[in-house]
Amino acid sequence: MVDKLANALRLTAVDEKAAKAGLYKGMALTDARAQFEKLDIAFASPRKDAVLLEKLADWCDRYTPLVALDEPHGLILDLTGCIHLFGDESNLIEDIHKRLHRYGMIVRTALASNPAAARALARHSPGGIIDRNDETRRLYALPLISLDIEENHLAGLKRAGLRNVGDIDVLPRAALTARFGTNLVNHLDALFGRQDEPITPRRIVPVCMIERRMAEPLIAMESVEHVLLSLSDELFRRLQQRVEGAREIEASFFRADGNVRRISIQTGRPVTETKTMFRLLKERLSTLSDPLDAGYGFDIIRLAAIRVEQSQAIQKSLDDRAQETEEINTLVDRLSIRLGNSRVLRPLPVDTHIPEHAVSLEPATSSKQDMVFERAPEHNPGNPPERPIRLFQPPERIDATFEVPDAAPARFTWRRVQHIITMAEGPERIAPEWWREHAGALTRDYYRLEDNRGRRFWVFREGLYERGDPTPRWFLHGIFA
Amino acid sequence: MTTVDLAALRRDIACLGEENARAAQRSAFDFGDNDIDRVFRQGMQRGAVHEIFAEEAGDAGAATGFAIALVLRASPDQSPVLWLEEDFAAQENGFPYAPGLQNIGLDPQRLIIVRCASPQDVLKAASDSLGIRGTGAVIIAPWSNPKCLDLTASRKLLLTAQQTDVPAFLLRLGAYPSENAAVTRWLIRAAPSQSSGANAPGHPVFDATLIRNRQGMTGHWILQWESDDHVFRQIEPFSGTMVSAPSYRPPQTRKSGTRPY
Repeated sequence: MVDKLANALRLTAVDEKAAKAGLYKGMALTDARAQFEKLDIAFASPRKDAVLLEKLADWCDRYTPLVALDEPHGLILDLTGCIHLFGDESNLIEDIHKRLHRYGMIVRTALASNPAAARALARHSPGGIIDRNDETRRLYALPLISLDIEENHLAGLKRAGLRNVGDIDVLPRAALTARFGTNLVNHLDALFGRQDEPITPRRIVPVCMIERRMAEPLIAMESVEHVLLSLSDELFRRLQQRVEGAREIEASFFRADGNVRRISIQTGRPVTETKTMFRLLKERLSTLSDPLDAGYGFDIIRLAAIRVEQSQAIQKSLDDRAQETEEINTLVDRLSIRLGNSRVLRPLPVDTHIPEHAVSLEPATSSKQDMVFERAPEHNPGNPPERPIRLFQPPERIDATFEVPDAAPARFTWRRVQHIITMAEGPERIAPEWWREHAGALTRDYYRLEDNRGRRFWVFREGLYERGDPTPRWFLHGIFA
Repeated sequence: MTTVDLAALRRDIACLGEENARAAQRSAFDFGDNDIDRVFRQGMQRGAVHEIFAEEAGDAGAATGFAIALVLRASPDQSPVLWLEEDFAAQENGFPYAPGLQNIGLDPQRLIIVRCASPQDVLKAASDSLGIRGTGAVIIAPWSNPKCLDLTASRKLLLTAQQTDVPAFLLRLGAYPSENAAVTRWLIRAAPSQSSGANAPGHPVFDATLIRNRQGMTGHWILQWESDDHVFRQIEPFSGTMVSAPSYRPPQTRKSGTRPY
């Protein structure tokens, strides 16, 4: 492996054979070439490495939901409470090795009582499962480099004749801190679990999850559905005990060849039963642009409730009204899943005078629906409509001719059709909200117009006439009923 | 045994008749205007597909307004209204604007806007929405004359609407009439309003031509929509102004290939 570092091609990784021949990481490629004419080189791609690591992390989800990246080449798995699923520690570690070996990977693992210790032991010792009582001894034996400290500090420690972690740990802390900073002491504390160092999992830990491991990979979609069905039964049974319903559910499909596919569905209200959830999931599966491919089959299928909410105990009443509302919610969820959240919308009022911002269209599945449209204060009952029923976004340019400069146009041309105005009302002046808008927004004078064929328009002139803009620009913003 | 059967049958028939009458009463709406209501003796069928055409491109606003007005007549309660619109139709004619819809009487809180990328999406969403009893009304607005909106598709929509008693309004913008299963078909043009004073445009006025009615007569009216009372009112065409006499020509006589614009 080579990469361009500091303007020279250098080796970034060497395989076993090359290492034996005396090549080392950081060596210039030209030097290596000088020693060995025939050198197999490949260009390093940190980006691809990162992608692979992410995929591996996905794959590791099969062991625990708590997986953190330890870039560039490591993964940290929090196996607390997951071990019994595999019998014991050695079974689990063996499983990891065996499976990854099948994908052509060589891994080093260490299982220790805290992330820092496991990390250091995996990188700088043969690793393995570390016995709790033996842990301190093993850590003491680690070389200083495993402390992850700055190069110059490391050199300093070595010069003082210190070689192992154990040599340092017995020294007085105050002196260490004074000489090498707090970093070193913090690392030591983390290593011996004297300081809690939590890992940051890549994914949200599900509130509740159920999975099934298959003896034989599943290929037929019918059996996959069957498994999903029984999983979701179990999931909802558990959620029901906690009087909760799922707002977001994720189905993960672990393929036998290591690929992991996740499909998540979000709903507008807590879902508490399999039937509804399953219909949504099927809807989602059938509309995937990149369909679920069983390939060599799935060996684990998992269903997790990512987000839950207190569910009101469902009244099984004969109240038609409640049932109809329920049906509408189901419909909204279904349409949102098929067409996308951003396509099923509810209008919400926004407190602004700028017409195009006065309404925000929010996904109908989001639950904030407490805002109420108030009848515009200037709109008196009996008055004709003051706002158009359809609004153009953005407003369309029109060519307007007017007889008196600061007045409604007498006629205008829109989309190559001329409209002769017979009735007009205005102007309604809408000033830009200087505290919100970007500088440069202009005041608009709006007019309601009706042409000789009875078509009603909402047009505006941009800019103040008084300020002497020589050629005012006119726009059509909407049409009335 | 025969007599028993006969009696039972009679009872059944009586029940059926009653039920039918009740169903008819429940699933009909009117215009709130005597003259036009006379054409629909039993009212407009509620659980049905009604088709509303904008006669020309410039009549999109009027056609939309008329559709909303019919929605308000058909379901005056607070039940949700689904507006399924193809993206292109909205880009071409403007997006539904809640404050304006509120001005003509539709509470924006009832509104669920569904934006569809294709006419197929519109029809699929329509059949889902119509299949639910809680839906107040569905506005179905594909753009132009999509192939998928044929006799079969519209008949399916009609059947669903009849089963659930949910009204469906096919809002046809940029389209010309073609054969389908709609129960009524309206051709809408904008009509000059009655000024609300100081030469200001007044309430919405529609020039409405009923070109197909499976239940009876057709006709032509000039109707004003009273946004506050939610009723139509027939108005006499203004005399002396530039109101053109309703130059109604059946669209079927147009060459099928030519669009009105």
